[in-house]
Amino acid sequence: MEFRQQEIHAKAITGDEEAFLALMQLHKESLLRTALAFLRNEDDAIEALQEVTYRAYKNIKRVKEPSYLKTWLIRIMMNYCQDQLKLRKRFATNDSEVESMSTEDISHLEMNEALATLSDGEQRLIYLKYFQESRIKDIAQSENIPEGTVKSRLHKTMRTLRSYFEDKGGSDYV
Amino acid sequence: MYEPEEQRLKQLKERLDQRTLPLSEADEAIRQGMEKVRQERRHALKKRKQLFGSLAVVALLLLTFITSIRVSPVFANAVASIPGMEKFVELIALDKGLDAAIQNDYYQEITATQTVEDKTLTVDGVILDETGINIFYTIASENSLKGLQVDYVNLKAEGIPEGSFSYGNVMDEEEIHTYTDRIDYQFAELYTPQNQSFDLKVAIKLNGEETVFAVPFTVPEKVKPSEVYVIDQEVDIEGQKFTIEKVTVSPLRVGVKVSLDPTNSLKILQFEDMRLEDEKGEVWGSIQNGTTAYGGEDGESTYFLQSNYFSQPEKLYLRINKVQALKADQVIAEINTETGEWLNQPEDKKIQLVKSDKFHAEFIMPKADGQSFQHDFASAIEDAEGKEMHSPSVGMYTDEFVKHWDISVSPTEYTNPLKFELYAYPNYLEGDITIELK
Repeated sequence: MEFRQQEIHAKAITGDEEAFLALMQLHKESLLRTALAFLRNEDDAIEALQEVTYRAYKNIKRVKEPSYLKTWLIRIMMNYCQDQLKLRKRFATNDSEVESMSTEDISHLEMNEALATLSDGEQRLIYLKYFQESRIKDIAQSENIPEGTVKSRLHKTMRTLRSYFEDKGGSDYV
Repeated sequence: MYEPEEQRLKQLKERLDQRTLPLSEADEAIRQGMEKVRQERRHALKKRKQLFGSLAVVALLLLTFITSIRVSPVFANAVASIPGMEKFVELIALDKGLDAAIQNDYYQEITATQTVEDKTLTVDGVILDETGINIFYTIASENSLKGLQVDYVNLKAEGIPEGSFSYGNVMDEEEIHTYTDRIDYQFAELYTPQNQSFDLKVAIKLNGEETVFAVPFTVPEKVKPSEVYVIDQEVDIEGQKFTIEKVTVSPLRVGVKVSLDPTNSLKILQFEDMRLEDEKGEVWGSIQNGTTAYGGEDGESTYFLQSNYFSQPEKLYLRINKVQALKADQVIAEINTETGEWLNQPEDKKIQLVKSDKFHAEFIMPKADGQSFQHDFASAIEDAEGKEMHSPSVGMYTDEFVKHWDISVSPTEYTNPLKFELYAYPNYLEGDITIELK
């Protein structure tokens, strides 16, 4: 499986159509989950996948190192989602929904709110680390910063998250 | 250290992972995303294809490709009002000279046809002068012509000189039943045909099958003679000298013969904005769709402008404000496709080699602002041992602000570095040259 993935990656960056399709099949679930994490809506996630396919297929030949392809795709997706979110920034959370939610849901909602207060770069960092479970090395490559910087930024971001919850009166459900 | 937060993030991730995904919609989205790119590429490839008549005669040949044609409604109406010309509007839209030739009844109707099985080729009409012939033709069939490709073109006539062909190449995958195009044959020297009879051969490929049409035709009206202005005047732009030798005005095009001073420190590659202007400020610029220059290795070249043959100006000026130039030792680009290095890359790095392997080399121009640099800058390729490679096929496209040239190299057995002459480069010299022709 790993071998096949490497083969697909290597062939895809030459612009080969079949390999690119195989590449998208391989990573479509991760890409969809990324879109859902940011946009939280299926229709928007599908639209995002189409746009990301378009951008990736157009630029695939620029990728030099096949092993970074997955992070590269996720990165395009995150950028797209963050741009979309800016476009609809004025959208407020619908408070009436909260009443029918379980405490677990409220906890998630709070976390999402907390994440929304982070900068784009910080959001991507959290997403790659905790949702994609990417290695620090890959994050460093994707964000084009040294590994040490990734670690210190992660640390700082977690501190920001903590203080967000502390400011909210320590509503800590865990 | 941040366990509670990490725990909450982990729960959020698990919840996300449990969501069922709309996978069939996802497949459709991927398909559509890829299709959009394919459509764009087909559009970019729909360019005119150029064939060399003879490498010995035409040492250097310059082309401008236009990938999308915008036709002004006024122009379209004027041309379309001439019977039989509606379908050729796009093919002449970029050339005032051709437009004027048609408006002045110099376009000559032919309607010679040949039918081979289910396909018919019709030569609708031509414009012929001493510099060349433009043949407007149609291929029609009851069956679909989807995927049709023009394979080769040949033109024979008594005493016809060597020259170059240019013609369109269908890349669209649309269901079409008629295909219209223009074949230009440009003579390497002025030629006055005796009986004005020609034999046109066009070979097309469709679904892997070749069809060859052979259509003889005779052009009824005598060609109009060219007007020659002998100038022989030396001028310079930022210290680089050249001589305008003569200007030949013909119905299809205007040829400006230029010789460069061999002692120049820079080699002038292109006369970007060379143009004719009359006393009212009307301008005839360079050829937009077809051959833009012929050149020899002796520093002499002829540049082609749109023709003002049918206008009768009181005054006529040749003007130049901007040329492209490079240091002599950078004109023959040397690239190593194995290491991805451009050994004598110009210092400004306006064009970069971003990716290369045995089969291709991809160049980009990161800050390609709009339409200003539209050249397909590479020509014939040689390897380090002087072995001549096949004419490179170049895919040119622009995304956002980056212009790409993807050059395919064949055969793949060669010795690095590869060498090819740059006939265009976005480094400009500016000045103000005005020569009075009359």
